[in-house]
Amino acid sequence: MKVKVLSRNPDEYLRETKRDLHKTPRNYDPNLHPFESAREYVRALNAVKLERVFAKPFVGNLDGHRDDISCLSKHPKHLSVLLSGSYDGEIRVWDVPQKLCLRSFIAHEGIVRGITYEPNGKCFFTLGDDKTIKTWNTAAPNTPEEEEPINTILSKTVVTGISHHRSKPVFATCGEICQIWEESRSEPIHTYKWGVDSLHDISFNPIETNLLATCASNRSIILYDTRDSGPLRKVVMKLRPNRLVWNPMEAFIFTCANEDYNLYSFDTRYLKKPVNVHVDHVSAVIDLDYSPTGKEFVSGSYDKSIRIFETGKGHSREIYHTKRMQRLTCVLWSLDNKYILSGSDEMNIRIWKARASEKLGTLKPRERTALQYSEVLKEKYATHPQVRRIARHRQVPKHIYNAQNELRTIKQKIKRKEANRRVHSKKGAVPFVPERAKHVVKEDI
Amino acid sequence: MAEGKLIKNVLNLNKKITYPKPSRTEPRTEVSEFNLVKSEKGKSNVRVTDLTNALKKVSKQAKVRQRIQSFEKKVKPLPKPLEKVKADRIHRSTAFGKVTKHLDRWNAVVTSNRASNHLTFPLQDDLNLESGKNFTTFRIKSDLQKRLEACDGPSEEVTLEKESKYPLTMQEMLERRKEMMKMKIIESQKAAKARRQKKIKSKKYHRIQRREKTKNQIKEFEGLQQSNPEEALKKLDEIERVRVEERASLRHRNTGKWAKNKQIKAKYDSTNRQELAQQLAISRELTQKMNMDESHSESEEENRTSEVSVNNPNNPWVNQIKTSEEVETFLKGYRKFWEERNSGNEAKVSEVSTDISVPNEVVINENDITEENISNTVKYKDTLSPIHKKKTQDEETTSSDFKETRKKISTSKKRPRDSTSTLKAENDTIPLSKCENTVCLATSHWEVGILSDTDEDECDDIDVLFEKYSDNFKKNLDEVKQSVKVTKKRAPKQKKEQQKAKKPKRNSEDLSFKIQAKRPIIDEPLDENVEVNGKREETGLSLALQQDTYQPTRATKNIDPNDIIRTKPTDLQTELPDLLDLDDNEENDDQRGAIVEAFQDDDIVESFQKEKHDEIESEKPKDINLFLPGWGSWGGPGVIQSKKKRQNRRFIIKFPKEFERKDENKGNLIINEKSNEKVKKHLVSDVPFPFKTVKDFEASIRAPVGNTFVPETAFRRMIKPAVATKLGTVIHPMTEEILLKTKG
Repeated sequence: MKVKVLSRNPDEYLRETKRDLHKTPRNYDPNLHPFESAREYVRALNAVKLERVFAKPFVGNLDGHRDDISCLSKHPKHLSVLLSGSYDGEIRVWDVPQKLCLRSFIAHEGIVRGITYEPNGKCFFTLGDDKTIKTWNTAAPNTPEEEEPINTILSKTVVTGISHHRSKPVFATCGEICQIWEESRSEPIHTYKWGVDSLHDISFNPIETNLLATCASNRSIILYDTRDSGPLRKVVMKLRPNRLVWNPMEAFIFTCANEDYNLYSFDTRYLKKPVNVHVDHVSAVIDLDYSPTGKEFVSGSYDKSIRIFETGKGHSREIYHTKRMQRLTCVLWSLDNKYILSGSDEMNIRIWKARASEKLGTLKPRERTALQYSEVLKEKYATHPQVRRIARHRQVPKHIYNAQNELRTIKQKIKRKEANRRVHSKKGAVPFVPERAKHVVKEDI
Repeated sequence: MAEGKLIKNVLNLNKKITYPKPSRTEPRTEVSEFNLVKSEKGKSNVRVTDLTNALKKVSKQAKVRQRIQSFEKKVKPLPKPLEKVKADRIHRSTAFGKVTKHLDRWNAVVTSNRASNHLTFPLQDDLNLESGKNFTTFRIKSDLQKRLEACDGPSEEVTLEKESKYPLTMQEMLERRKEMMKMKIIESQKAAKARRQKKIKSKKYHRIQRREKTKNQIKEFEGLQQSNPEEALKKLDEIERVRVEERASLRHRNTGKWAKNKQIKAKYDSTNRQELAQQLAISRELTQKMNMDESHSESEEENRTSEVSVNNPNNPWVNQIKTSEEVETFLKGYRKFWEERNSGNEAKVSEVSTDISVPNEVVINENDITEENISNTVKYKDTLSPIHKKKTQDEETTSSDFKETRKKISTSKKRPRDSTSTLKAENDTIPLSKCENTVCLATSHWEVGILSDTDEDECDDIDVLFEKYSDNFKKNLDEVKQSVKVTKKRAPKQKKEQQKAKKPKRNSEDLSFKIQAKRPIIDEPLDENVEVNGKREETGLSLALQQDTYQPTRATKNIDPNDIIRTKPTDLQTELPDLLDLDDNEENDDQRGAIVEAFQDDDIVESFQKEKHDEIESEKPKDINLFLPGWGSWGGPGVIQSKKKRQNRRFIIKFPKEFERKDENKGNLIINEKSNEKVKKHLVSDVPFPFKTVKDFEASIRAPVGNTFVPETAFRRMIKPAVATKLGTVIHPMTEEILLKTKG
């Protein structure tokens, strides 16, 4: 009797060595793959599930400060160096990958209001509530007792924020007035004033380096040109913008973190209304920072959470929170687009991954292609209900959840009231105002 | 010493205190306002005239003196600078304009980056190749160099890297200076304009300004009319209101030429005074009526149309309400005025040979004006033409009135008639060419006589004409009203279209193409909820969504199409023979017969109906009875449970009786809705955002990506990430080098 068995030549399917590329003959005729879409869907579903499984964004924290963190600054050239200033006037220099504090010293009496590196990274500037602007050498002295600033400038006015020019030895401070300083001089080379309100944040445009924007306490954003003209334009918003950051890849776009729980992206050329409104926070947004690719930005809020937004979208793609993290005071996006650093009220600096489920370190080619493939699949099937549900589901702290519910009811109430008013009034008396047009009060010339 | 000072002070007590001239002591960035003292004018200043007077005696320098004096006449002192607030504003606005223009350079780069599917950071253009630093330039040595080297060893090439003293090159500096100058010029122009406009007191200037403004408004209105009729109506309303108010304040106020002439005579003649008073009374009446009219929407519309098209303040047709009496009284005055004027001019006309080109020009001008009017009121074109006719008609009536009262007037008969007819010729736009010809060829007297003859014919039945025109006018008005209503209805649709059209207009610099959607875009809040004891609490969002989904109750009941089909067909008596059907019917009949024979015993249709009914019944969710035996009553052996209690309504949760099924009105069809329940939750319910049709969306999903289904190269291409970064590399912000440098 003849027994039929499957038999193949082992040369066809076995490799000689482990490293041999084994060529699998494949027939791509779609008729032979009737379940291709179903199989890909299952792969997408698995990929999205694994993404959530591996979503562990918290990398570590840097502790050592003895008071709340007030400001952070990244080194313009080195990824591993981080500067932090705190409310007790202490400055710390960190080695981020090793989570080590390299240097610490008291720089100011009172709160450190701002730190910024010089573009070469050779020294950094700090300013504090004691109305001084101090320059420090990046290289640490031999003993901590020898910590001395290279230069100290006594400012005549209160200074609350600092921003360095991208390439020139020029920096700008804000406070009562906006001042432009030359590094080697002890007097400001320009002072700009428009109105009487004090300014609490300032930032140089990294691309169009002569543009400057400040946030004023009268809810306004003021643009300056440092070349010769000074103040250019003022936008008054409904509530106060806390922080303003320019997009590092799009010269005319800037985003401000606002007191009204939202963030607004503006086009400098059309200031009448924001290009985009980014919602989702449930409390005032304190700080934000753009990713170096200019495609995303991170925001830290008073609601004890960090959110990541894509520039073109109105809702966040990610929320980070931990039980012990308190009110955020500052956030940073690292210059290699991989990490997010956050400083908060409870003296810790936290390191997060920018993409929660990303595998860190170098990847082997096969792994990389597999990850890229699953990324594409997730994108492809993003709207399928199961994929969508899993990908967009997040656990949030109870206070955020409750606040969201409250905000929702408030919004619904406003909407309902407006609709009622519209129904019961003359046609056209209650116009439809787009969301984007609601938040800017006026544009001052 | 001290005494002397004291005496000096005492002596100075009576005098005015004079401040010394300020002198700068220390350079400062801020100049204190207390140091700015107005210097005493004329006292210490050196005048040029004094200097030139000194030159008077020197004959050699006479020319110089003359030149200086002429300069002094020509050159005026610079104007006082604008107020600081205003000057600053101008400064800022020009600077902002410049900056926005400067920023537009980035449009191309930004758009391309936004649109590109794959971006690698750091951007390629960011490569930091600092020329000459890392590479030593190799040079072929000359003979001399070689020989020198042989003499005293290799000479070190000394490259002197001179740090330029100035950060900018000469050219750059010049360019910058040029730009500054340009900006200053623009600024000064604006400042000068503002200053000039502020100063002007002339009423006429402001009137012209206002007129220009209204003209612009009307132009805007025309534009709106085409694109957005609803807005246009609003605009029209506004324009009209302003115009009406102005008109109402001016009409019959005795400000015209006629009235002024009257006023001169009114001193001596009581009738003139009376007429003027009458005019004022009319004006009062008119303005009152205007206010009343505004309450009625319909009459308002009428007013609007009439006022838009007519610019002549003396036109009686402006207001429909005007009675014929009023018209007559008005015309009387008008006619008299013309008589007198003409009688006055008579002598002149006879003396001076009439310039032929003048009336010709007048005609053309008039025509221009009317054309302007037409263009201003495109929508009301229909109403316009009759009004113009009426305008001419108005003039005709003057002539007719004149005829009636001609006997009373002692002035010569020919001249006034002549004049009125010329007036007619001027105003009438219809026989334009004829008029032109006649005027050019011959004296006005002779030809005009003919025209006036035709006038007289028309004037005889003026009342008839009046009625005719008024009817015509009303009809036109109705048409306009209807058209307005129609446009109002159409407005929202058009508005949408207009917005669509508007969008690219606003971003005229927007370089982006219309991107064809490849992947769905999800821009919605995260599905956030709280974990409570391991159990997931339902999200507020989903709850809210549940509340929102409102199921409307079904209006129609289950209708079986079979029942309807069973109704008896009615035969239509037609002459057309249905030849085609005959054969089919025969065949069908055969088949049917066979089937009927085969299933003679069982009724298929009936049985299917029954089956469907059973299916529906079985799938119907049943009422749930929550009754538990023993609750609320005694239990145990021997206790009889009452059936009544079991059927108590309190325990039964009733399911809604009207339950929609998919196969409800479909006759011989049973759809099993439960079969794909498991698949259902994996299926997309509606077309996701950027896609507009199901077909598009399906197309985006259809093609597989994996390397099990597509060749490796295609796979690699398709899985390329949107943003790729290099591990451990700093990504710097964009630099200006990325922009293409253009010449000049």
